[in-house]
Amino acid sequence: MKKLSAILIALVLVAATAVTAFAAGINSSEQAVLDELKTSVAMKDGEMVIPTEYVNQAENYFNTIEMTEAQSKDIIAIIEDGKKFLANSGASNISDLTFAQKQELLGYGKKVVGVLDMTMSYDKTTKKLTIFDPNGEVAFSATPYLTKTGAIAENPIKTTGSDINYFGFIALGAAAVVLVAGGTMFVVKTKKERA
Amino acid sequence: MSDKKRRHRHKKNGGKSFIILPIIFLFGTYLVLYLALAPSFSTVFSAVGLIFSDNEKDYSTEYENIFVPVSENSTLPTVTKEDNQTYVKIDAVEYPNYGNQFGELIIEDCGIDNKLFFGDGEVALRNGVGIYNGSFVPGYGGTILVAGHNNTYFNGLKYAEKGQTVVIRTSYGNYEYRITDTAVKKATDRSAYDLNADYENLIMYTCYPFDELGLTDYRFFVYAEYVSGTPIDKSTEEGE
Repeated sequence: MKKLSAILIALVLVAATAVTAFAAGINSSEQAVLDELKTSVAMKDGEMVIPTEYVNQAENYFNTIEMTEAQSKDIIAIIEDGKKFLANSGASNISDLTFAQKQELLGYGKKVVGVLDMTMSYDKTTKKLTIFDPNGEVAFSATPYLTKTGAIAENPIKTTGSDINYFGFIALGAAAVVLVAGGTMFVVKTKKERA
Repeated sequence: MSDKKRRHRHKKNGGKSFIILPIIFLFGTYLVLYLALAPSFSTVFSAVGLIFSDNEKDYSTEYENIFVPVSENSTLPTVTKEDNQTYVKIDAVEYPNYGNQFGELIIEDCGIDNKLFFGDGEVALRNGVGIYNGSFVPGYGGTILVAGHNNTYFNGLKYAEKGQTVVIRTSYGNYEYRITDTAVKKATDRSAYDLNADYENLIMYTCYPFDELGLTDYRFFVYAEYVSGTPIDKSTEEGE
């Protein structure tokens, strides 16, 4: 009985003092990948880097996962291959690559995110590259682009005005035109018939 | 055309001209009006729904809320580093995923008390204010770039003045900032923010002018400096 009481008390104490631990923080494996992402690649017009905000987004994502050393090594190896490919491509930026070269680069990207069980897709219409986490949630979505050191690729400032529906205004305008045209036609027709 | 002939023609087309076409026209007009005005009325309907509803609105389907307020006397696990600074232990921090509500942003002087999201997508800005995911969360030691709509959650920014206090409450601690400056800048002005900053600073912005409908070229920026709050220990290596 005493033993049972002791076990129960111990369990209650453990439960009361337990702190939930989350898979957060940047471990050395993740830091190595971030360092690799920050290093430049020599392209036609000079040294190019991944834009700051994209690296920040990677850092934020790494704070939600726990990357192993093996995964880190695999990722860095693929990134290095990708950089060699870009350096030899003869292009100034990703947008200058030929279709075949873009496909090859996308292949490197897919391999990189695949190490973390993520998937990647590219939408030709919007020119956006989207990376999905293992749960299928969007982890990253942006136009793939490289910048000169320190520059930012995309404007992070959003449209924060009234949530206005321009389609609505266009539809309303079209309706007004149809109503006026219909009315005019009716009046003209009636006048003609009376004449 | 004689009256007889006209009457005959009206009789012949009566069904089409006087019944079907007006009905199609009526429904067509209503449909167009609905498409045009629904977005404007949706806010009013939502507000009315909230006022008259007995139940608390369930937002769980739209986003995940991981915010659990930290009480005044609670103690979070901390670690003291070589610089004698105390940090929140990283494994006690539930780092938000994109789209999570993970805190609150309060500026009492401006009447602002909003849900804070990680990510500034449509869902976030429809329900509160959002941190750009290319910037960082409070306590991380970088730039915190927060967006909000000018006609709703950040309308109060028009009362922002130097010296006012901004409080951000998260599940891992409460952070205080002091407004240092406000400025109207072009939305494309990249000097308005520095995402490379290696010190904690808060930048909030909304469209300008405040009560203008639709797209505007300008943004109202509010800059604030870090005052207090336990920083996050970013590294997972022990450093006591």
